[in-house]
Amino acid sequence: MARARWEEFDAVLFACLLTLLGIGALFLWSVSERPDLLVEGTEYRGTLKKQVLWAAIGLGAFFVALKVPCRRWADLSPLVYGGGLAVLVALLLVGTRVNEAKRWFAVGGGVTVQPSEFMKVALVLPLARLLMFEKQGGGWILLKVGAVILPPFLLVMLQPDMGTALLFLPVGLAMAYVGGVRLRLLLLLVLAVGVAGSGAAALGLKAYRAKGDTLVSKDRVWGLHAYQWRRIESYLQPTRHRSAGAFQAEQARIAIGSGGLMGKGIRNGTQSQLKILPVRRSDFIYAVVGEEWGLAGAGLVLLAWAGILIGCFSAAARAMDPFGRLLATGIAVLLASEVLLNTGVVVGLLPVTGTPLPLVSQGGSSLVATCLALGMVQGVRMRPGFDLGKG
Amino acid sequence: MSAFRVRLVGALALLGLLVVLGRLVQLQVVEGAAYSRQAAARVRRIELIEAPRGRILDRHGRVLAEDVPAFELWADPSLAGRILEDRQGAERLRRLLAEAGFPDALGSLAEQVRRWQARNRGRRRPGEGEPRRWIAGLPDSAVYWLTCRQDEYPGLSIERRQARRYPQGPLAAHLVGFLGAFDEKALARLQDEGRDLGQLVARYGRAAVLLDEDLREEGYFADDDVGRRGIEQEAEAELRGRPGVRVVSVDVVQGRRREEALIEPARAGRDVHLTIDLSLQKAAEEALDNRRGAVVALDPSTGEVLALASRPGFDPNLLRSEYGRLLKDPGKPLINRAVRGLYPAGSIFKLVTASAALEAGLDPRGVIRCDGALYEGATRYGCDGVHGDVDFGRALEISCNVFFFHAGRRTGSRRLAERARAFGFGAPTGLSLGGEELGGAVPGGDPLNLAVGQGKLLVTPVQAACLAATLANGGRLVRPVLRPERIPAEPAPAPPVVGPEALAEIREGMRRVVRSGTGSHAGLSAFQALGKTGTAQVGKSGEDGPAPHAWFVCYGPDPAPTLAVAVLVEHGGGGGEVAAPIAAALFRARAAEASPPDVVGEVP
Repeated sequence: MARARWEEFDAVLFACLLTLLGIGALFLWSVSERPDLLVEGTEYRGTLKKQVLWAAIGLGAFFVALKVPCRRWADLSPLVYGGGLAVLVALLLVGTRVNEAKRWFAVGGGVTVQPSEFMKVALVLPLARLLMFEKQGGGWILLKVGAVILPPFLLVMLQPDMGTALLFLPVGLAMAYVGGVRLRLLLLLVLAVGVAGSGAAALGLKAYRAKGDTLVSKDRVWGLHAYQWRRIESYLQPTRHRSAGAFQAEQARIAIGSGGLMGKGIRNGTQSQLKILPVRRSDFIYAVVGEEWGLAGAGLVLLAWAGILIGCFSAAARAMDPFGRLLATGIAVLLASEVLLNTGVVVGLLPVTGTPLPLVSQGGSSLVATCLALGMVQGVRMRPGFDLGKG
Repeated sequence: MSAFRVRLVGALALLGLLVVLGRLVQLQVVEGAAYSRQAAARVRRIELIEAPRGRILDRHGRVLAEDVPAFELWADPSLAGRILEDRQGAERLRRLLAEAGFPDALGSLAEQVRRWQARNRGRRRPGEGEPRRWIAGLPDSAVYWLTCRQDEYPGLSIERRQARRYPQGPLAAHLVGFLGAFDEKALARLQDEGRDLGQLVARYGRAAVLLDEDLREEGYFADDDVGRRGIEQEAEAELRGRPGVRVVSVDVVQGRRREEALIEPARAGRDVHLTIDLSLQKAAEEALDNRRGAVVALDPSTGEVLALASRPGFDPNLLRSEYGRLLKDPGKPLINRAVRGLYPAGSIFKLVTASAALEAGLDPRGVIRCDGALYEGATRYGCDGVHGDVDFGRALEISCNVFFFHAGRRTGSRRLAERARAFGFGAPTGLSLGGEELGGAVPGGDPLNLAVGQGKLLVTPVQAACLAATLANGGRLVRPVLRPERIPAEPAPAPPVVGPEALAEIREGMRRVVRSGTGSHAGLSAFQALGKTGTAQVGKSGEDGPAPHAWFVCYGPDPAPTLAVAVLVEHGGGGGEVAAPIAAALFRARAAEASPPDVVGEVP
């Protein structure tokens, strides 16, 4: 049963994956490869080539991952998890700083790797292994889940990368729920975390406001940087304080809104092309799609993601093997959270957090990690029976 | 573990996607027309708001450098073409600018426009260009004239910017330094200091820097000025403020700009106070006059730099127009000779030799006979005169070479070089001011030549001043400081470089130099000063060679010294005749300051 059954291969999921990779490359080309618009002293050339190369590596990772029997992933999970933590610790010590955040390893040749992208996927494995034998649904297992999530959560917060760290939470919650933990308990937890979180945020915001303008962006109040407080504040009260984040959000809204139904055409977006739109190749690439291809293009991206997510969740629902089911669920929730967080920010439903749109945004680490994760899900789908890993 | 739970979670995720889709419909269909108008009517741009740079002040708060408002004319190359098409208007503008001192301005504008059009034809609309500085230092009359006629000249804007002004003119120009355009070199230097700007700028370009708050913290741009020399460079991080950011919208038709939102106000840089005493600085520079050389004055008890002069100088206010000429000037007026000038020490090094020899056991009462020269094999080591029987104190007083040849031979070159290092020669004094020379002795050289400062040894005037200050400070090494906040709260508990007995002997010799010896013509004994002259030979000695460098180091008043001075005059001649009177001028200025005249005027 462990042998992969190719007739079970989810062609829709794969087609959606290719579509999104294609859209990503197309819009990266749209905003990058324009020597005529370059500001002197900047070097954008080569980014597209790099991205296509990453996509090829990602597709390779996808097919390698689906070949691995999913119980093998369970065996590997302590190794993957421990290794991931070790890399995150090493990163804090020797990582490359970009914008004062230590998120990258410089590999050489201008290539950087962002380990937290892989940690997101690596976290799903031990959680699935932990929950696969769960029968009781009590609070004890919830503590264990928390203990697994906490170290990477803290390490990523320290980078600092709040957006990525927050993604760990829905993954843990959803996996615990599917793993059989009682809903009442989970709701209680969400409520408690919510109350504590917003309480801390309110007090922290007060402390931040008390220090007011004496703060420099890098200064910390209650563990968060001043600029992060400014973003939170500008989301809560957009009129009181216009931060750069609020400006980004507004420019993104204008870009998308002015795109209309069919968009202005590729390479014709006035907002996107004139560099008014910030970080437009990575975190705000979705706004470029919205401006240049309109509702049709932005909808297509959502549709493709819906296709992938439906594929993941149905693979999870159909899987007989508890580990495979939990694995597929975890990855599905992770990707759904990333997509919702990014698009939610771009359309102005959420405060600005710098997270990429998986498969579409520029950036190799996120792309390869996402492909790898989807390969795992495809592997689960192609082995629908109980998988004993002997194969 | 039911499939139902999986489906429920999946449904939630899809619901989320639906919400985003709904928002898209709202933005793009329902409100789409409004956003389209917003995007089309105005071109928005993010701009920096300049932050005023901090001032540089002397120890009494007198201003050495400050930012003053100045007007600049900026042009948007996408719109300025229309100015040139309007013949009459362009002619009026040309005449105005020619009167204001910019006769070729219109040509450079035409060039800017032509380049922009070559780059962007058909790709960007008028109003979508990036405005650039066209003319800096616009006189008030032109500002008034242009303000009244702004409608006639689309794409032009008058920007109120900060300009750096040095109210003291050439006074202390080397010390204060100046600003220069931010370029690759400055970028590389900042990188050397550990700020990884190069990577950031290469990665994001200017546009991203504007938006990224962390980048902006240290954001420099092509138009920016950055400290290039002196304190302006040293204290760049403090002096430089933090630029603010605003969003402006450009009316595509009119070319006018309007502020739409202030994202962040600019924050001014911090003032930098120096230990410099401007009246002393002025006395030093006036005494040097048009000779090439340097003067350094320290407070020997704290190491505070009271004056740091270098000649020839320049007026930093005129640098923009004179830079090319100054670079080519054979007198190298841009070099700060006080920290970057390396000279043979000459006889002031005898103070070091003296301390080394005394510590090595030389009897100060012992007498050596000077016949005008000493022969070592076939080599002749000459003296300035035939001094007869000379003891230690007499040798310093008249600067007898023969005595110190003997002392040097006794001590050995290794010990001499070691002692030179102990006095701080060959090591940074910490007064970098954008590049300090170290000099120092090469070990293993000829001990006889080294003993009289003619060997393989080069020193800077600052190092010489530290030597004088160290002797004034009970033999404890003095490190110069320029910033009051850098004065160590407690002196470092390092052992003195010279022991008390040796120090007493050396001081007695220095007293005799000023009272009746080589430095007695400058009237320094009136200030209870102690000193040592130096006349450093350069190149071939003799009548046709270049004149020697004149040195003088001294401190005073004697029991409780408050001033230590080193003077160097390049090819000045005798140290006692040329350099010592300059040091005396500083003591006179000090005395005049201590008992001010009845009418207190603004100094200088």
